[in-house]
Amino acid sequence: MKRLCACVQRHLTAHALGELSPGLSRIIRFHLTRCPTCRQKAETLRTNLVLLQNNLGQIPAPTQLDPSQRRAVLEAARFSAARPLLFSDHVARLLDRFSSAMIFTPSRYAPSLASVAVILLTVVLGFSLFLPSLSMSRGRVKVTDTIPECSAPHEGDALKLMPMAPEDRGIRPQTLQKESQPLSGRSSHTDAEKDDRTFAHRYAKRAAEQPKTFAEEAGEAGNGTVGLMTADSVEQMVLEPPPMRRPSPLSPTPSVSPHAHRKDLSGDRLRKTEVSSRENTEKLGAPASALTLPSQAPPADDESRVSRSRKAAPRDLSSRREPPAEEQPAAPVFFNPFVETVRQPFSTFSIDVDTASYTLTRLALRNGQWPPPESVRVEEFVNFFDYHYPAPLRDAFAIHAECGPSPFGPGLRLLRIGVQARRTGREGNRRALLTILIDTSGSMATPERLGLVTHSLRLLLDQLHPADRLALLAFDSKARLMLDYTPLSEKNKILQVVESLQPSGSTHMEAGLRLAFSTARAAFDPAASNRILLFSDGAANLGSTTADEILALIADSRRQGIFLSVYGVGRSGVHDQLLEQLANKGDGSYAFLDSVEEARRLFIDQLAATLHTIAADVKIQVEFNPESVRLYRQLGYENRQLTAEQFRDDHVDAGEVGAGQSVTALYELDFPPDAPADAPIGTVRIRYREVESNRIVESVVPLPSALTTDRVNSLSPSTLLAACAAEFAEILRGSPFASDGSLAEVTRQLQPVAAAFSLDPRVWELLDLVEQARSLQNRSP
Amino acid sequence: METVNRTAHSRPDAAEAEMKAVMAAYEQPLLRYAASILPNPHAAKDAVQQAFIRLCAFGFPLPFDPPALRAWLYRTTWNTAIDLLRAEKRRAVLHEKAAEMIRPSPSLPSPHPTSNDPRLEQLQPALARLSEPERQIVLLRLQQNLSYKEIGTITGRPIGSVGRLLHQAIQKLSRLVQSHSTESSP
Repeated sequence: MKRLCACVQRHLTAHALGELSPGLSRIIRFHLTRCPTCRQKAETLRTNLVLLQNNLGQIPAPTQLDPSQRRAVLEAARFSAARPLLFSDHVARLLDRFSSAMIFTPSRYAPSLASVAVILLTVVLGFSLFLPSLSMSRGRVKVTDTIPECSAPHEGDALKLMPMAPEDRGIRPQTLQKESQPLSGRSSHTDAEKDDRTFAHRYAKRAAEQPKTFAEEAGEAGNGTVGLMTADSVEQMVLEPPPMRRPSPLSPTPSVSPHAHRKDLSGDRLRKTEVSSRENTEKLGAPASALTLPSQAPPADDESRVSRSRKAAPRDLSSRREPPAEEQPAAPVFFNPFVETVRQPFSTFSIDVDTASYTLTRLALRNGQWPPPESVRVEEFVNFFDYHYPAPLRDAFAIHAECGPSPFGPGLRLLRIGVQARRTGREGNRRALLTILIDTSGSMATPERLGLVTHSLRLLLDQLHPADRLALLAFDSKARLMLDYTPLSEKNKILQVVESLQPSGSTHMEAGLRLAFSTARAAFDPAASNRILLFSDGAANLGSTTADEILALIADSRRQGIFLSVYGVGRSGVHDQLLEQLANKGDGSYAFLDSVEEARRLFIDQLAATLHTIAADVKIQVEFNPESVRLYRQLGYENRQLTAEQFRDDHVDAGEVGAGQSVTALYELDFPPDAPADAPIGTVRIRYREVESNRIVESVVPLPSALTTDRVNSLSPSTLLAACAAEFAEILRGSPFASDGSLAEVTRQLQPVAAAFSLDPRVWELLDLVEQARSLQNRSP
Repeated sequence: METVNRTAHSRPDAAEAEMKAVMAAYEQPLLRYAASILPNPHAAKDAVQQAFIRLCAFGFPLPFDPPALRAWLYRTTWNTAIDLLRAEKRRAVLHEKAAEMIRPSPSLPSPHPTSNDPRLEQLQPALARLSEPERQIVLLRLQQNLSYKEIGTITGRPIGSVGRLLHQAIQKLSRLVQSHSTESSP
């Protein structure tokens, strides 16, 4: 038995990651149902794996190369393509690939590998000598074919890096070392570095003196390895240059295929994770501490755990892997982990009033597609709904908290913190100075894009006050001012320009935003609310195409107090991430126009919120009391997290809130069994800059000391609605914490809520969407 | 020479487009990968840039199918990053005075911007204390979500060896993080 345990434990990691063969993993599963020791180890390991995966994904990393670095790479690509591909390049390619596989994973088979390479090379060279044209056209195919075989014999593997034997170096192409110093005293790594440095130089030289260099190099290539090359053969090859356009072994659309694979992988990851962390929470008690205390024993046993987590697995397989037709590279999907209160009692985040993620998901589900997980943001689902929190009369914000049993996490508590901003009508407001920036590129030329934009603008114009002023800008390959600031009293003139917009050309969003900000800055009116409204499908393809670069260019204008509202349009191929980041970092909000109804909601019902920002840089900090809360996890707000110190750092950018808007944050809490009934859960702090007075305000509200309620049924409908929206989003996003949840359960909880909110069509629509997702899930294998 | 001049105009554009596609697909994951190996984000960018430039040396269209391209990129990024790390180490040995300013070895805590997750701060030094193959495999499997098979191709190891190393590394990581937290808690 002991031996079996040792064997099983060796394979646990591969088992947890889903890398074992079905037969072996069945044996291990069976063993785990029998052996409590191994089961305990498996549980700990799974928790650790999930935590590691989460944490490794969050290691801070630059998202992009510097623009100058990108240019250098593209320049190198152009350069490399501009020169003809010579015979010696085929040799160099082969050796390059061979050596890059060799150098850093040397093995004791290296000498034999080297001889295999020499033989191969002899064959290739011999071939090309006698059948030069044939070998030219096949050279590429050969390279790809031989390399996997070359790396395969490495399998003996040595763990440590050994210095290369001199005879190994001999197989490196002499041509590559033409301009470098003698080999002695240099490590093989520096050879590789050298290759890069000499690469451009070498080719520049070659381009200048074509035939001579070629002959030289061919000779040199011959020198180092095989002495078969003759002057005749060289000449023959000069006369017969290699075909310029070779059949590409890459798939016809290389831009899509690597990405498509990534999507597959992310789907795989979800499947392989397979473990429900919430389950661990319940059973293990302390998942956050599992990494720090791996030896901590979970309470032994019960069969249902194993079977339940297995039951959850097939659901994870749902049709999450169908990538939409055109799409930007998938961003990794993160989830906030459970945090130990003792370790980090502060949960700090920036407020987010965007709702685009919900609208986009609605669109995808209605088209019968499973939404891409990275575009499902839990907080945007939750904030889409109106929870009817009472608004404050004098202060800017009121905080409404409720805590009760979590409807979806048995044994956990759900804490809902609702933040409601003061309501002010449009009447008596500051006048608005709007700069409207419209994407008129070719991709906008459909009724649901530019058509919906003009419709929205007509709605907006009807709502605005005659004293408000508005400028119209358009951008495609270039940006241009269509209409300078015009008071709304001349509405017809504005309408004429709006109707005249014609889509064509590429999308130079950088130029558009730059012009918009400089126009808005020139006309800046401190007494008005200055705002840029951007309408686009986000498919930027000229100039800077990432949010960071664009925002860096317009940073100065932003500080002056010009806000940016982003409206996404389009049914497919919307570059959601770019638009979201623009609004996130550009002091603005992001909404998505998918229908005339959504346009009405944004430009008629919520116009006051859109036009009248009452507080900027709104940050919330929840401090939990370690005595009464053992673990907490925030649902959503993954890309809005701040450190505890950043809360009081007023330079840190955070979200903006418009008049009458509300924001809801949800936490799942784990209470220790011996929690004192009257100890407070903690406190909530909110800190913001009042836009009108430019004052920084911070207020503190204690959270209720005991549970507001004890039964799920007695939670208020608004909390239940928020919980359902969050659970739905978590399932769509593929959260490991929701892998034991089901859409059926969401429907069950949501039905009474929909009855309570019977006048709000949005809740009924949510119910409808959950059903739609369920039917999609059932349809997929 | 005639052929060269005729085709020289269209080819660079095609090459640039192909390279752009490659960068769009791999830039972000590779940067995250490199940033987990190297102590500062600028070095990570350098490593990734170098890998892309090396890729250009193969000529266009690139002679890889997508899985081979991915394996090549991950392998080269790792090698370049390790080179940079070692160069840094060598320099530190040579200039002892500079050693205080330059982070000489991967075992020192990295000056990455701190995150709000306390466990992340422990994870990075622990990660740096793994052996190089272990670190490579942990990153490839748990961060980049590649399968054992793909990792085998990248590192030139048989699948069994990948599995064994990963298992070892995870045990080690848990131990390291645990000991770190017990050291720092009193």
